[in-house]
Amino acid sequence: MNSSNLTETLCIVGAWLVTFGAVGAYGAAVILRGRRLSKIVPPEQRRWM
Amino acid sequence: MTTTKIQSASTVSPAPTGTGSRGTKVLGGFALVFLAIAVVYGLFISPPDAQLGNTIRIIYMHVPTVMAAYLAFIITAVSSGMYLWKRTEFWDLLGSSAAEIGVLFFAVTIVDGALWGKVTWGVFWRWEPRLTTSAVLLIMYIGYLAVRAIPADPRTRATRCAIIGIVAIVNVPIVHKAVDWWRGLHQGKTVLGTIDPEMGGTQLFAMYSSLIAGLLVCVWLLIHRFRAGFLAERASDLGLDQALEERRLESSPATGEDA
Repeated sequence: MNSSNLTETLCIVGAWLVTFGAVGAYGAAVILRGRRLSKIVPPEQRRWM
Repeated sequence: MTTTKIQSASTVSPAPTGTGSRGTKVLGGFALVFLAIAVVYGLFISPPDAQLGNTIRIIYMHVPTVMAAYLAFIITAVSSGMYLWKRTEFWDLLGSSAAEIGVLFFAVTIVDGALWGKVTWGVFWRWEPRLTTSAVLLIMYIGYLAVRAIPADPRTRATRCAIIGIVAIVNVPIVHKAVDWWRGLHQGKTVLGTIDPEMGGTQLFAMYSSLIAGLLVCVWLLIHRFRAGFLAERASDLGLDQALEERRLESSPATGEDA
């Protein structure tokens, strides 16, 4: 595999990893934050608008 | 009468223990199915493009993320307008949640584009029209989030953010049309035009699968983020109530002594 093919492969894999990694990490952080906050907020106030 | 009470109590669903619900689980399930299809077709089954070669596999991520970002920014603008009209917490929370998700997707779009540029142009970044206007757009929405983080009265903060949310959306069509209005390195087709009518078979299937997956994930994230924001507001109110109660208890003995 020459250097241009290696760069191309690394960039393709990198693009998919960045996309899935960033969105996945953000989603996990939001869900965990929601679970943590649910323990603080009383049940009667946990209804959605 | 007792029977009626028992029946009404049993029909009340328990309070949610997180930001998830049956609806988000179904939506998340659909998103996962389309993501799986996008991975299989985008990385393994789709053949290289005649012009783009294997870099079309980056486009399978680049286009859905930018479309998701545009959707989030449009929701921010509409919510901002609705907030200025209705002045309700719902529209403020929806707008700020969508702005945060839009920044996430747009930042990912720029990184994916830079990786595509490295292969195609030999450099990660060029100050050409599409990229420059994109950078300005990202900075504007980061500014929105920065204003959101400044401590202020909730109504004042919401009004400031709503104004920025409406102003910032003006840049979206500028970014979209930058390739037509100015000469640059970025390929001439628009975002919608990137889904080339001549593209067919597995390439088109991979593109649409990843596009649907991106939009579903965007909406799924938005629902969770909105609910987390709602819970954060309630927790903040509780903290304020508790602080006021503590202050009242602290001042009570002093009041007694004065009396």
